[in-house]
Amino acid sequence: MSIYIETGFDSLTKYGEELCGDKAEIIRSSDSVIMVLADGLGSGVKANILATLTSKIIGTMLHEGAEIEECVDTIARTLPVCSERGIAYSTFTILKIHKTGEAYLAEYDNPETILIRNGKAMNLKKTVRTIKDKKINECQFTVEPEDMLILFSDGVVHAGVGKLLNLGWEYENVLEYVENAMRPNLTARMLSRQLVAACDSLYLQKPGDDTTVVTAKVLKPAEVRIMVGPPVDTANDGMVVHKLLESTGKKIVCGGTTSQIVSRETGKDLKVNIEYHNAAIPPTGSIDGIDLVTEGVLTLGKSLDIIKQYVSLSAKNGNNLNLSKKDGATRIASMLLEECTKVHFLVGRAINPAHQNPDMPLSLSIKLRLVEDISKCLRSLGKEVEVEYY
Amino acid sequence: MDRYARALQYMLDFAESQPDRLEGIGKSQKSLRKQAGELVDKELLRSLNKFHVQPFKDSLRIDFMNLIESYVKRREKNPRARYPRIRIDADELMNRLEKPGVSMAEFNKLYEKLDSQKTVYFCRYSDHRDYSLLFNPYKKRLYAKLYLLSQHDEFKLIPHKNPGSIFQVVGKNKLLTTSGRPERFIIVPLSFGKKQEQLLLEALEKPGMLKTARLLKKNDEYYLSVNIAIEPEKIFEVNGYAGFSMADECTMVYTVCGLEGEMLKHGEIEIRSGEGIPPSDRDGLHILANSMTRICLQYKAQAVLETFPRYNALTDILDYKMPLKGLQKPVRVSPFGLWQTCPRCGYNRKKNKVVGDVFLCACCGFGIKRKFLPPYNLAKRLIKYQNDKVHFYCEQHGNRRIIRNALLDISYPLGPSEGIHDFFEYIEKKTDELRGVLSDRENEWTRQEKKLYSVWNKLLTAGDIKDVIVIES
Repeated sequence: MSIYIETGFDSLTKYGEELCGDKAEIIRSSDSVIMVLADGLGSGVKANILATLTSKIIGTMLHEGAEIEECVDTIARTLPVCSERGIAYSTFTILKIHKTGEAYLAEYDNPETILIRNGKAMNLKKTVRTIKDKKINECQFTVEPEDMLILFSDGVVHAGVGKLLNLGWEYENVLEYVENAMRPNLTARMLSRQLVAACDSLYLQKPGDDTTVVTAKVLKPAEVRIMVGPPVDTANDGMVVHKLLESTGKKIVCGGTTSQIVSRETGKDLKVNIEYHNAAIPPTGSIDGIDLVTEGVLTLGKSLDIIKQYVSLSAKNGNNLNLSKKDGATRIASMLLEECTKVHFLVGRAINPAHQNPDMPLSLSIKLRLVEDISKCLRSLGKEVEVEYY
Repeated sequence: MDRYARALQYMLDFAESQPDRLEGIGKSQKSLRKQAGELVDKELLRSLNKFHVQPFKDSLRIDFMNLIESYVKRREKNPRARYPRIRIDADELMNRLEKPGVSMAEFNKLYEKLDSQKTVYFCRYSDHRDYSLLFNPYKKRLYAKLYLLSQHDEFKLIPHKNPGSIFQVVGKNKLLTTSGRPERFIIVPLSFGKKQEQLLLEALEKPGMLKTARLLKKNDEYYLSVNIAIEPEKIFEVNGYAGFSMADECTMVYTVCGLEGEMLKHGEIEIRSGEGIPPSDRDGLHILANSMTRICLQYKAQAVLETFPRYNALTDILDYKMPLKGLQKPVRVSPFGLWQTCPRCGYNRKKNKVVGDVFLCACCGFGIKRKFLPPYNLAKRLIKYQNDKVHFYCEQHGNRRIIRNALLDISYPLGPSEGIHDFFEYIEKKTDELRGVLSDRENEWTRQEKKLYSVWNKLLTAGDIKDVIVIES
């Protein structure tokens, strides 16, 4: 079984400090994803340095194939020693997930990682190993599609202490909250943002401690193939449509002319939907066998706006982006953000003169630019993006 | 007051003795008040003379129409609504008791009405009938002149103990000098609070301010309740919304938010201990209403409260206090979901939990002290209503598509060559046709009709109709 690991993380810096004393590191390789969360002793610059060193060392060493003992040994010898307390200290949590589904978890002094499966928290059986006087909790297990793993620093558990909650949020309440937060199409990024937003609320927007959440969602690889614009050479119409249809994942067609080409090549009628949701976004259409048919440039432009908004969401404004709207632009954004791990663009280079910017060279059509920008955003989210031009 | 009550009861008994006519009220196009007024003919009015209530015939007619109108409205909601009764005398009470099937509850209700009196309604402000107010410029004191007898009454009253006193008639450019002869009216001194005195003295300059009045008796003291028309200050443009809700027995909490829904302020208003919420006494209600008005004035915010009946008395007071300060009247909204809906993202599920004292949204992570959740939701509810769109549904019937809205009773078949713009044109045309028609009978609408009106109003007031419509399949 091959899986895809979608990741997300977000942080709050302790109120009054410039730098966060927590550090998250995510390293992707061809066969695995390694996530490291480190919490440096204290707060501010010193803690940031400790956490950064820890996460970088561990992440890089594991990526290069080192064992956990070597990582701990290196950290112990590398971290600067605090002159007051005489110790060099940073907590860490390591999660490595192979594309086969095998996972390795190691925790040192961080709150226990949460694994949610089918909406419920799972008990991970851990063993304790002592390395260089450090008690490390380890666990090896297998992940399944739709599993959600949440790593977090103790700022989450203490959220609200002395403010809205006397004893802080507490681990059991965090667990219950995460279970309640589970819903279809919840992405790793949205969950990490939401948890950090909840902590920010409990801290009354003045965090008493650095707070970081790293999430990993296990997904079955799913591709969305999206055909944008007609090919320059009309002789390639059939070939491109065939390429679109051979995908086993979801299929999107953007553009009026493009839709007509697909309709002609498939022999299926193109129907314009009467649904109307937003005056600014043209209506969608439908072709049998195609999941979504939309207008071209205007709709793609609006989709890009939505995707950029998703990428730039912060814990401060929570996850206040509604991806369930029914207009064409939101549906494209939703499919690309929540329903796939890979996006394959089939971009026709035939340029519609109506869309041309007279001040720019002919080759830079707005449509191509939109595809480029959307691809950039999706790659920043960890998605695989392939673009083919015709 | 006793004669007035007996006369009014006589009118009610007369109407009750004509069940067919009574039943027919509410079945024609005329307003309920007009139909109730038709029950009072010249003969009935003549027969009231035996109660010596000639100065009050107009007032009695109005009171009667109000009671019948109210009864018919109650009957529409509940066919077993009780017919109004003002008073009952001892003989009639005994007769009723002798009838079989009289319950204890019914007996208690009738007993309460035994020989009861009714407030006397003065339906106009006038210097030669009904009532007027007088001002003694030397003593700087206000008086009420009340016409209690008709010109046919043999018995007359000595209006004032000091003959030769000069009074200015408030609101009229006239002087009155008492003569010492018996008259149909009496002149009595008034006492009141500073705010009321201010208003009454203002009436000296502004004729037409003083409207109707009622004479009532409480604990052996007589009170004159005067309706005054006051020009409200210019109404401010709404700059935000303030939700008010009960937190516990002693505290009302509020949240003020801006026009975009951003939270501006949370706060609490302490209620006088032991009064309950809202306070059951008038003083407590006024103090609370004043506090709420001050808060709204600070932010130029419109008050929003729940539709629970416990807020009725408070809202009645706010309905006039707030416009006096240039604020919009408060709005009442449904309390559904107030304790469970996230005010930031609108997520409303049981999964939205409370941890300790804190509400945390299970969708967006928004957190707030639980007691401020209802007022924040109240404050944002109007914004939500304003942003709600009118939903239509498109159905496919073979080759035809029909766009429907059941509430508005619209069913538009799209022709083969028609598109969505044709539908919008149709809605615009229909909306134009209804302009002006919908405001008739607005105050008599049932709950369902009000909902219908609010949806049409959204279409009527939209700048561009396309912005407020959604069509789904």
